[in-house]
Amino acid sequence: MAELLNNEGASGLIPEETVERTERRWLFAMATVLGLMLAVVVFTGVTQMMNPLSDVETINPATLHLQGEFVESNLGTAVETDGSITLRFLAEQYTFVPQCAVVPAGTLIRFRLTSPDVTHGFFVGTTNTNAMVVPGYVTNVMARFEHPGTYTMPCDEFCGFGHHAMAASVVVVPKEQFTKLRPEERITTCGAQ
Amino acid sequence: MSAGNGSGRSWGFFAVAMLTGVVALSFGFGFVLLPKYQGTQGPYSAKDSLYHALGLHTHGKELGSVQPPLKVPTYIVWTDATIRQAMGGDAKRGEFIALNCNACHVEQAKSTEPWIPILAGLDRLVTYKQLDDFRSGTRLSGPMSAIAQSLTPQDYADVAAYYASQPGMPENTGERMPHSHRTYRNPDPLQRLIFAGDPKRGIAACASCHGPGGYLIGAPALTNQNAAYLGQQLQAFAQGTRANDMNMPMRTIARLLTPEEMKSLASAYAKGLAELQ
Amino acid sequence: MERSRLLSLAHLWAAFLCFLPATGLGLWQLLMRSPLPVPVDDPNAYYASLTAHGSIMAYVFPTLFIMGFGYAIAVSALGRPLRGENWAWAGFVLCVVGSLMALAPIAGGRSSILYTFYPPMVGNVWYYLGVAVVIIGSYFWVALMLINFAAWKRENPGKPVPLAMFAITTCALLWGWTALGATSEVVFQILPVSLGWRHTIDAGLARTLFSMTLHAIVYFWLIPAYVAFYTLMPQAAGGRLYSDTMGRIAFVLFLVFSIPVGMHHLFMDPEHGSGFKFVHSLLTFIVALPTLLTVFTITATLEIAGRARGGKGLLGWIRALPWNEPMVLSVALALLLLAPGGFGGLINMSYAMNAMIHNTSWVTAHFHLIFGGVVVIMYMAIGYELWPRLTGRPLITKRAACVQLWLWFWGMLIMTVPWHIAGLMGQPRRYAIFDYTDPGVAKMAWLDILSVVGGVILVCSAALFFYVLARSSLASAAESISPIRYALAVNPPARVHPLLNGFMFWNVLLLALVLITYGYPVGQFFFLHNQDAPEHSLTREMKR
Repeated sequence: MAELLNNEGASGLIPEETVERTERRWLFAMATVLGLMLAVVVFTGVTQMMNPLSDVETINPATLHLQGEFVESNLGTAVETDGSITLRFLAEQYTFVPQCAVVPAGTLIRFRLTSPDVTHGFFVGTTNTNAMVVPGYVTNVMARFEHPGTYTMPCDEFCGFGHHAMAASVVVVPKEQFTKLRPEERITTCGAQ
Repeated sequence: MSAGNGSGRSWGFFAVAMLTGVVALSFGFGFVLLPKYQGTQGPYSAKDSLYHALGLHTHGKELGSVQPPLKVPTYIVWTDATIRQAMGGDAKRGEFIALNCNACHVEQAKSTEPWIPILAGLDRLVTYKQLDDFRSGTRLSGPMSAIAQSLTPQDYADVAAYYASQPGMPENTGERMPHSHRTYRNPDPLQRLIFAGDPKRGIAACASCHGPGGYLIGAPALTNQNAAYLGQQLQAFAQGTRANDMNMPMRTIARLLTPEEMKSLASAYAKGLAELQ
Repeated sequence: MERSRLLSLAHLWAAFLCFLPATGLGLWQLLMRSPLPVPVDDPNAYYASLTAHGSIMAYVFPTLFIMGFGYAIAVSALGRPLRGENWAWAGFVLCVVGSLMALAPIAGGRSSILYTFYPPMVGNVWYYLGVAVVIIGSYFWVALMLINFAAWKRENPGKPVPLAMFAITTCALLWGWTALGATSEVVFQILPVSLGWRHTIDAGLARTLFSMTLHAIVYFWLIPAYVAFYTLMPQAAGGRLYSDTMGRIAFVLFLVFSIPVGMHHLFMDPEHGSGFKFVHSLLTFIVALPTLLTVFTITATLEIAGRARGGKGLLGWIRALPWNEPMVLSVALALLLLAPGGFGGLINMSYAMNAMIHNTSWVTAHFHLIFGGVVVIMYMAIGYELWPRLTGRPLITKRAACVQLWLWFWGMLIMTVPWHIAGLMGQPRRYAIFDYTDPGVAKMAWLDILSVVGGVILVCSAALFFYVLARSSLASAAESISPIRYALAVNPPARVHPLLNGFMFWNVLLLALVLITYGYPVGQFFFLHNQDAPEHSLTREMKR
């Protein structure tokens, strides 16, 4: 039987209409599955604000220490006038600055990061706050942490020979505890010897 | 989907129509529907949706947090012009200027005043930057501020060129031969800290910037430097009394070290790391 | 025919000769990341090794293999000598020279920038020149595939181009287009910096140009495996291809949709807005279609062969298939690996789920499974299929070949499944070493050790593969080796729709689509200010 099939005379074993019909059905089935997945993506995008970061902001990476939003005195947790939190980190070879920051739980937090040197990445462990930090650009990501705890925030893009030891900590505390902290305590309370 | 029967134009037309539909759908979702709900203050208007999807919204300027007073760690910016100037010194002229420096930095550095750093062999960019920081007051040290203020940037470059040409500390190039025992498998905690860092605390390996085995612009080689000087600088970084590290890497990391670790690290580097290998 | 055989053989030899040591490097890297003891435990060595492993496995090995396979198809499917054979040899020499140029600085520890070489981290200039030379060499192949394709069509007006040649030419065309992205990045942005003419670089533009190549390159790798699915496996199984037309449609879909999806690698990047990120995401759903179509067509093809061999009942045809044929076995194993691999891909392209695993070990595990698993196992089977035809000597044993393929299958699963899990647990990628005294990291220790076990199996399999081919080359020449026969379709088309027999139309669509999906994203960089970043080298290249 095997030889038969390799023989020219075995053509037409399955009618072309059958082939076409089954292939078309499969195509529609697959298109439907993909369409459903796409619908879920759109749905979560609309209802859960699950969307990629979108603001394209440039910044000169060589002068971050001299002027602008990422001078050292402006890093870390800042409480905005409307009560939301802005958390600014620098991602550099091979540390995040500050290495540790305290934020309140259940609050909208705007992460803003940039780098003075090479591309880094970060994710707040066990959450889906995860983004790249590209020198020349400001990474702007929104997050809300419901569960208090200490989250490790490692660098997740190769940035050089010290990449594997580069990690920050995000300490999420209950809101009431946060409001009692003085600004300098939002950084110094964690990690220092 | 059979072969050959449809006219070229109709299948081609079908393909283009499908593609146009798909593209239109993707742009519709991506620029009209999805961005509408990405605002934190409620749905965006159509124009704002488009702006948001194109990335034209920015949030840096409108944030209202009060800016704490500006504290500049250093006025050096590593532009190509700065690097060229710093690398373009004349070692012979630098030797002449360094006649004044050697009194402390060579004769005394090794004997009675161990908290004066050895400069011989130091990277030109490091010497240049530190002198500039002394001049501008971003790095404080009694005698050095006055001394640096009497020099010009060209003088720094020359002095830097001279010291770089002197045998002393090894050149830190980001060493290119592999070695063993530079991971967390090493039973010695000090070697682990130097070569592999401590990710539990977020401390990078010293060697990844200061060598041996890593290089970062502006980070001095530490091998064979004076132990007391190294220990003192680490303490100063930890306390913030030394604050000229651009973008704070040293202050951030030094604060995470224990005083014992600082002493051990300083001593290990001063001895040339030979006994660790 | 003789010289053409040597041409293909040279390419395949070169490909496999660098593949084997690269797998060895991979095993050493797995050991480094695990809690197990390992020689030369230096993180710097890891990053250099990783650069070599990635560059060989992504730029050298597959390119050389596909070129060799392509020349073999051009000769055997079209039944005529290759036009422009001298140019083919020139291209081969360029690829080999370029590879050596690129590997030299890596071996010297001066270019540990990984195979993605994201600026503003810059490595040694010879690395970039080497990669550029390899790409130029591969373009000789692209041109020759197109020239031979067009020549055959001219001499056979109205006849359907054999599916194998149609598909591999699609592959060449796709590579020709997509390589322009990374090549532009290297030529216009990186080389001026690494040669010292410029000192800053727009990292966002570089990543975007690279993304134009980064996804489509995997389809460049994948299409030859599908060529084997469609045209070699049915023959080996003693059956027929279910649908020639759907095959052509699948390959055309790859050509059109592989490139305008690249920005799904930039979901987490700050240099683009969400609008174009979504456009690329939706198109990525579409590029999943040809794979899904292929799965159906190939499974149906396997079923035909199985039933032709007497298999009965709903699943009885599976057992009836000739499992001692490497080509048939590899297709089944590839499809089995494609299931989890493809599933992982669907997760990666959905933004919300991607956020959980971006730049974790999940990503590394995914592409090892899908490329190292699905594609490379087919490359091995293609190697077994071509070897007798190219060397004139039979394979010493099909049994060892099948054992080797099974080893590769299990090794890949054992290596990548724990790796996926580690990624879900939050293990970041591109780490040389992990501190297992950290309780959070210690939880992943057993996963990393399992991956090492998988890696050991893979290295053994690679060595066995090499051994089978090498020994077969030394066997005495056989009486006569039957030439490659490409499979017939169940209903072989006498004529094929011109749209499925040529590329002009699809080139236009592809260009339009690339302009629409990348025009603004790339163009915006020329209107942004202040974003140029100074170069950073991991090793000090300036004289002290």
